[in-house]
Amino acid sequence: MLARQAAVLCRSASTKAHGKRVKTFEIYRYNPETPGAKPYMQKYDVDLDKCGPMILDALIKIKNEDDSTLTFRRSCREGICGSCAMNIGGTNTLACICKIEEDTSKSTKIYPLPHMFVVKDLVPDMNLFYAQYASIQPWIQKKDKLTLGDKQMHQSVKERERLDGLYECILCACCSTSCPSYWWNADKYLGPAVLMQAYRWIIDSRDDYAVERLHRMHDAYSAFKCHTILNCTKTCPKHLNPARAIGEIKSLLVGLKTKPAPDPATF
Amino acid sequence: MSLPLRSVTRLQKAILLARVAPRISVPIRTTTTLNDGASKTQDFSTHFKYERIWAAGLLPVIPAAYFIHGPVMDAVLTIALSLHIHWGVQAVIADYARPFVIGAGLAKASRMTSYLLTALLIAGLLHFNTNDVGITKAFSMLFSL
Repeated sequence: MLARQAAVLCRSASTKAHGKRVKTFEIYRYNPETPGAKPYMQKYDVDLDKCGPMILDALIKIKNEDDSTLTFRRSCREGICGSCAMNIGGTNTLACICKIEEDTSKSTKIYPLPHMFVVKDLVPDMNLFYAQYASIQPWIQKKDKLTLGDKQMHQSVKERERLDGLYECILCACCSTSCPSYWWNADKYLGPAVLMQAYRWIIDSRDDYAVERLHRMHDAYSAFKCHTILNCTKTCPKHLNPARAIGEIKSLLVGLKTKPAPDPATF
Repeated sequence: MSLPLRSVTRLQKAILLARVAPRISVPIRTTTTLNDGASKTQDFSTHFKYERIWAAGLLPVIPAAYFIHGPVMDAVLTIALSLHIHWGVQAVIADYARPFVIGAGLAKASRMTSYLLTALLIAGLLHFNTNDVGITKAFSMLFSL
């Protein structure tokens, strides 16, 4: 009993940090390995003068110096791997490219990606997301015989430009987990990130299976559960536009648009 | 280190080529796994298209109803609004009355309820149009208050 009270006290009191610019971070903690554990918010004080400018710097500093049990994913620390996607101050973004709010009078709240199953602390379970990505078969598929090293797969400059704004996606899942439709129907709706990648392969001039790809998502949920809420586009840390891609998929599905025929090779 | 650098590079190139050679000129499997039955699901695209056309059609109908009154406009409004509301309510039920949340039985009951509500709405509006003043007249009376 005493031990539990002490633990509760420990949780509510923030860690001591001294300096002129001490910022409080309130971080979601949950360890399912402890029987009967419930999620709670834990406060950490960080001296901003002794910390890097980004949220990830603060998290790493906390893990190094205050609490080694704090669990989060990170890898590249420059916004290209998508590992550190989390909900910071109410917005899904990458911790590594999100600046710490300088105003030390307010604390910054950090949660895992919304509406995902939590593995531990800030680590969400991405299995469903990856399974959905695999389901769209994100690779080039050709109808004619292909021999490696025989000739290049020609693509004109214009055709290549169609992939701009699509291929840059790093699959951090910030957009999908900001989408209410994905919150409610993640089991049947593919979500903005996966749909944008589906579109990336549908309009690729080198791919021969656009029709088949589209037919796989013509049911009421896979793509059509998008209600054009546009949270995906608003939150994307790479400033991409998944909502536009979903709109294009819908246009292709209802026959408003068709995939342009590939340009013939000029050599 | 007596080996000249040039022959070292030549050796390296030869090793690289030997390693890559079997892969060059290997035919790639071109059969697709995209036709695995996932496309056999019910095609919703036609429904989606008409739903949008219907919604776009409502845009001129509603302001027109402000100026044109009469039994024809009442009937048009009844049908147009009922279907539009029906699809809207169905979408709301699909989002919020999910089997995962309220159980499969209740979810099915909710889906059935949407049809019941729409039937009641159409019956009620038709009754109002035939036995009372009708929708357009009712609104003009409301605005004149």
